[in-house]
Amino acid sequence: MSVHDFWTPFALEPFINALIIGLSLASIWLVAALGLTIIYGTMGVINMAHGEFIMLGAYITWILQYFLGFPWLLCLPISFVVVGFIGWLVERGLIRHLYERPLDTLLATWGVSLVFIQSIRLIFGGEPQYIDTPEWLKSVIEIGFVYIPSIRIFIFGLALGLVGLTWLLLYKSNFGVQVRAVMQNREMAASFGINSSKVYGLTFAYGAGLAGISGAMFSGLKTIFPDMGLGYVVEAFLVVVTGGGELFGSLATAGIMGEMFSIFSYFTNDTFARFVLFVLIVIFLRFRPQGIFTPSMARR
Amino acid sequence: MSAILELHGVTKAYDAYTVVDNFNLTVNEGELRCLLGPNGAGKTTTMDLITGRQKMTSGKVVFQGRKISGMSEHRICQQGIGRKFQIPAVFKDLTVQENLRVALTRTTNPFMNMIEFGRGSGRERLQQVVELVGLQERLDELSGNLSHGETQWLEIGMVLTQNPKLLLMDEPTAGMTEQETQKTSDIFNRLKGEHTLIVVEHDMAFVREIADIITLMHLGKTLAEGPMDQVENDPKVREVYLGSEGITDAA
Amino acid sequence: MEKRNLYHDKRAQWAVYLVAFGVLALIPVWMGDDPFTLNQYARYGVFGILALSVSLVWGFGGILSLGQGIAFGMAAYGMAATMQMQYQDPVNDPIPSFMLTNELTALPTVWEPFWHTSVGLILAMGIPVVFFVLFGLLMFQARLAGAFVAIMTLAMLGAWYNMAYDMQPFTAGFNGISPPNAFQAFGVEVDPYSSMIYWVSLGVLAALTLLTKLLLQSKFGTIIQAIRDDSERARFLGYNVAFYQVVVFALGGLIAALGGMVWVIIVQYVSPTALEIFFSITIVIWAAVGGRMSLFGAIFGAIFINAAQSYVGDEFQATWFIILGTVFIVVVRFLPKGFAGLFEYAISFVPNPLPPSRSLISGQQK
Repeated sequence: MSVHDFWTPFALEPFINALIIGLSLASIWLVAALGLTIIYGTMGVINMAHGEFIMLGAYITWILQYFLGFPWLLCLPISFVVVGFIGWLVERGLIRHLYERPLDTLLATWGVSLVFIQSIRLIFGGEPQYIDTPEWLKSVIEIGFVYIPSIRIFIFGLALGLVGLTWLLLYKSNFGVQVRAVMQNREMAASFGINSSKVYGLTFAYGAGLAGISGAMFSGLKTIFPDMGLGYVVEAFLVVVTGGGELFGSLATAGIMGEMFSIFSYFTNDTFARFVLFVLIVIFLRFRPQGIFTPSMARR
Repeated sequence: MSAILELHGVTKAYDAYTVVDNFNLTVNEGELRCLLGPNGAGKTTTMDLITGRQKMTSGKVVFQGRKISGMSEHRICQQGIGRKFQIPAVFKDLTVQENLRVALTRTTNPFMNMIEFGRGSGRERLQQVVELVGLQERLDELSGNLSHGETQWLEIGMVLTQNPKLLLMDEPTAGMTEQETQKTSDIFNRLKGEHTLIVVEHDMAFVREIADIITLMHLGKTLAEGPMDQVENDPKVREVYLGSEGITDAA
Repeated sequence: MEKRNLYHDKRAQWAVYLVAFGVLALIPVWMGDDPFTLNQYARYGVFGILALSVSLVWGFGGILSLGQGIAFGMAAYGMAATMQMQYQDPVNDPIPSFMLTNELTALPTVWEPFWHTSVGLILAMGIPVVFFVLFGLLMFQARLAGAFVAIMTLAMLGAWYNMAYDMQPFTAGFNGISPPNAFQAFGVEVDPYSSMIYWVSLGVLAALTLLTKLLLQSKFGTIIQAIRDDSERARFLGYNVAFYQVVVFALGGLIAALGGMVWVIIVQYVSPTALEIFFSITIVIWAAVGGRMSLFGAIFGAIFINAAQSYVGDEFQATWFIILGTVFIVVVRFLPKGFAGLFEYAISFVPNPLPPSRSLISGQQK
């Protein structure tokens, strides 16, 4: 690249294409961030191992397919369950002891991620692995001048589906009431007979399960390798924190970030777009640390 | 006696709910004023508004003839207003004497403090304070290991170290045993005259022990003001606390 | 627990620091002068410097910065530019070769100052510090703390990583800059494979450590620890908390920047890996395991972990990281003060043999 072709001039058709790529990217970030949103939003836990839960989901899919010949679609729910269970174990064994120390959870979960990455590398090697998706997901759909791989449409749809499911679970189910009660006031919830320790465990497991299913989804899109999670965790975190740890905050933030990234990279390039996006997020957090929707809680 | 602190029409409102409502207060130099009132009367909020911890919706605070409302917290403190919090706040990972040294602010400039190694003056002041609050034997203890009463005295000591003209004390005897309360009221009676104090307290025996004038707050406003006996017999007070045994219960 | 055991005795601390650095200084004399070993040890010195910066900023200042790599990387690029321009000739060969392959026809303006070694050094050190001041102002004036600072420093680090990657004509992108010659200053060449490089690295580490130690014993040091414990209380004692935090953050940036400069003298190379998120968090791990609330603990945590890592060798890297990850989890869970904290506990059973020092308040012998 030379300095001269740094800036791409505007042209309608490629620009619209870029917007669609942005939506697809947004759906990927949203799925990656969804589990983290639940965990951060309800428990205040900064889980740096989230990217590794995604990675584990992808590897579980690969194992099921490579060794047992499972079809890809069936791997998605299984990844959810298995990674959810791993998440539950991590919560029981480590996170629950650190609820009063949020920074320490950040660090401890980084240690967890290190252990996961290297264990997978030790067992399956560091080379990239590939997943076979059903034929109908390999096609490319053509609408006018726009070409979209159907798997991206599938992921987009599934992303919205998972958001809907999570919304139902958090706001319409009995479990959701308990989660939100514990979130508001742990002691009070306990006095109403809610087992907050159990609620935390299940919430964390659900968040981890969502990471697992997103890993299974990404495996259809990209190669799988032990430290693939690092590529998701920072963006996922920025989505969650900017969204204020709320479901619809993450939805909106993922959408805005995906589109902004794709527009910037249309005019410049991927890496520069990422630079601009990260800097903008830092500045945004300076002025609205409470996130995009939550009303201001700055100096009362 | 001249006024050291004046609050003019101080108001603090959240959306629909006014915590402090057009509140006026004048405190004279050397006075010990007690701020009483039931929970939610706006006592702690008033202290927050004076010290800049919360921003007021309207009104102004004048300290020694100078408008301080709108200044940042550390600037207000530097004007000579010290504050002790309701939940005792000390630096738990530092020793008692380190806590007091931090409170001794001859300069607050970070670069000046880089070349300050504590060999110089200020020792006499620390010595006085330590004797006043009675922590001579505990100087090298981590303050996180102090008993509840000792923590309260340490925080009082820290505020006193600064030699502020006005001291705001939010429930200084909360959680103290009877003996500890007695010791605290001795400390306060020694401070009277030299310092101006505003004390929020629930313990009526303690208030009787120390107070000159009482301001009774109710729903963010002044309900009554004056010496203890006068406030207790005020018909408005009796009306608000009808059926109870006066303000003793309300506090 | 009485705080005043031998572990907290300042005279004992200074003695340990001086002895430790004295012993380290003799290593080339004892261990011979195998150039590759000395180069390796010099690298450990830089890791020690980085851990020192984390200990100051996080352990004492209470600011968990996951972005120490920003200062390290910026300074490393500045140093690499300085060394690269020492090699270039103003008349015959004014443009570094990677720029030529990137179709540049003139030296970019931002590279011009690096013709002068002294200006280059000042920029390599100064730019990260200025950036940390501005970034610190941005965060601390808004009273952000804890996890927010961690996430924001992480995002900022990610931003600079992408920048270094992207600005290929200026930074050589992914390939990085490798200045062909060793660093020269004041007519002396610092051969990266000699005992000299070891002493340069150790000298910077020792000087920075002792200065930081002195700083922490000043009132400033006590105040930043007070702010770490309860920033609200410190504010209501009249301290401008944000000002102090910016100063601590910038000092941490300065230390990391000096580490970055020494690093490039040692390895004669810089690439975006200096700005990798993984690297910056690893620095935090070293400091946490060694003991973030002890400069000595953090520095030797970094040195021991890296020495062990290279002893284990590349073959068992995965196993090594599993062990490191596990140790880190255990430390965070059970030893918030790291191994230094364990040592503090152990030594509290040993009576202090030193005569009591003067108490600062009463002025009496205690």
